[in-house]
Amino acid sequence: MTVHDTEIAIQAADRQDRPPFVQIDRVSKTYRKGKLAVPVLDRHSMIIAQGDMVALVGASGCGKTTLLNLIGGVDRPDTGEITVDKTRITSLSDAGLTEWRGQNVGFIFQFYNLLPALSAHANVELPLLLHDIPKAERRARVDNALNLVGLQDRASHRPEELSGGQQQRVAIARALVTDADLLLCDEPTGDLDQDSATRIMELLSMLNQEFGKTIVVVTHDPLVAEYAHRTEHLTRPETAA
Amino acid sequence: MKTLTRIRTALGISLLGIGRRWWASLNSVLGTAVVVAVMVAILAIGAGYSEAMKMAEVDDANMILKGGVKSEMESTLEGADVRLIESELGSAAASEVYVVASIENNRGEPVNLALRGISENSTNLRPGWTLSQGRMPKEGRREIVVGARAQQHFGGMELGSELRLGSASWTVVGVFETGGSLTESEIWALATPVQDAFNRQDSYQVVIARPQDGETPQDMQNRLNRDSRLSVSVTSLADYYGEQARAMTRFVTIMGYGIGSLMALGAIFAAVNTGLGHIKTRAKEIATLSILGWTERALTAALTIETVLMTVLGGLIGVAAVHLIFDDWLISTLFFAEDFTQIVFDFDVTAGILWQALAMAVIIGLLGSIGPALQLRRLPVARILLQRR
Ligand SMILES: Nc1ncnc2c1ncn2[C@@H]1O[C@H](COP(=O)(O)OP(=O)(O)O)[C@@H](O)[C@H]1O
Ligand SMILES: [Mg+2]
Repeated sequence: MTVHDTEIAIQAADRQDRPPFVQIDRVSKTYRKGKLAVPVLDRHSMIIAQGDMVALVGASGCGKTTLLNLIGGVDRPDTGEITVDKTRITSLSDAGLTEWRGQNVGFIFQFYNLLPALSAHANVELPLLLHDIPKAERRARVDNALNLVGLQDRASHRPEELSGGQQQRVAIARALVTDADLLLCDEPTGDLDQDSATRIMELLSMLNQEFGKTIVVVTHDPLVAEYAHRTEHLTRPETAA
Repeated sequence: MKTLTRIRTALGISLLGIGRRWWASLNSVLGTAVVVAVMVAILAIGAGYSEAMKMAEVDDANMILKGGVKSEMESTLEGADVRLIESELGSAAASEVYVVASIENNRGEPVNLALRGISENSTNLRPGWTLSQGRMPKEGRREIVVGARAQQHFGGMELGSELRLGSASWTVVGVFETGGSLTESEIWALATPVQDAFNRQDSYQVVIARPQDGETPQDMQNRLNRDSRLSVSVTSLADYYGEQARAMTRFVTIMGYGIGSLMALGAIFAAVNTGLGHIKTRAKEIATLSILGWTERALTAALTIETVLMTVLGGLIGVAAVHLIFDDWLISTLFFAEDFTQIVFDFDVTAGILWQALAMAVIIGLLGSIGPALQLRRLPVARILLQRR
């Protein structure tokens, strides 16, 4: 164990004392394609502490994206409960869940999902349109978020005028702008070269350490997983008929 | 409030991208435009017809016909009856001969027109009657004045022209107007030469008379029929033409709505198509908005509003087109009554028709967005967000 490793171990112990932020309690999910049932999660439980940064790894198709979508309220489990920051999201109505994720979760995807017709600034501003915030303050918050990801001088560019890494930073700014405490990232570096990937992971790390964001990163890249405090391995349940 | 914000912003974002989808949107715009144009055109014909049939309601006069008959065509009042009626009424009355005369129109086709043999008071008893050209026929001559619409539409009726009606030839000496009412499709002469030319001797079809103060047509009928030598039916001019117009109006209305509805099905399919294409090309955008907190309901509402905006735009284009092309056109049709004379009327796009056209456009939009809305609900949001584009 190196000094560095020890430090991480201490930090990890530290984090265990923090209150749980995401509680996943015996969650099951089975996809159905006609008669075929594809069980993906079987009574899966997991706790993520406030301010934690967790890497979700596992073979392709083992259910990482599925789990992330359940945590973020994009999808619902068949059974089991999920609580995020004291909100039992599995009990919310469809509209309630949609509203909740808009306010409390920032999503970052492999392919950015920016709206092509909008500038970087407008893309970042998008989630704020649902909040009752005056225009001037919206502007300030968008500028702030773009600053944070180092793209203040690209505000008026459309996505197609930006590199992949820059687009991903715009997406991160969009996830940040509502001040959501939970960031869910699905293969955030999957479409990026090594340098851009490093920059994105350093950015996420910084958001975790300096802003206390709780972050879950789905990845199959060990280098990316290294940025996390801990790694959660997912395996696929036995396939039932 | 929040829902409204969501709808407004979703709509705004969608409209931002309309430049990329205008071809598809044009489909539902034009589809609706055509449907609305056809419906408005047919209903405007109906409205123009009804309008022509409607006499000025003010100062309405009554028609006195032979007892039990429903039209001037069927009615015969002998000279003796007419004189009894006139003396009983005491007020100004006009006894008239009414015959159907055949002429050739400017394309050489035979057309039936109403020829009315009038008496001194006939013009006073028609509200809005004016002589716009020439003079009135003179006693003892075969002279006619023609209605302005008949003249415009059928041709060959300029001042001084000769017209063959019945067994005789007649000279056009004047043109009259009645504000576009049915009467403008008629030809008027004095009663006596018409009786001569059509072998009617001393008989008439109708007496037009103004009622006494507060007297209903029924009152007048009772008053006249109290004389046991008389048996007459009395109706107001407005009721008479209203009754004659009813069948035609109903026919035109059913045509308008029937054809309109059938075509509307086509337009609805165009709107559905547009909407589905819309969902397909905008799937990424919709999924992204959904993940950012736009509810399904708001996204559906925005989609519906956009569709309705497109179809209403189409409706306005349709109405405008009809207006530009057809307004002030004159149309002639067989009078849908027993005598089948041609009447001429103009195309009348009323405010009511405009509202119905817009309602039709809205309905097309609403029905056309049901399918796309269901499609939107089924969008696999999570999966779409994993795709590159
Ligand atoms: N909407 C869906 N319908 C049916 N099967 C699905 C659906 N989403 C995912 N799956 C299946 O569930 C399994 C887990 O998928 P996913 O969570 O995307 O895996 P991972 O992200 O770990 O690669 C895969 O076998 C996938 O094919
Ligand atoms: Mg995945």
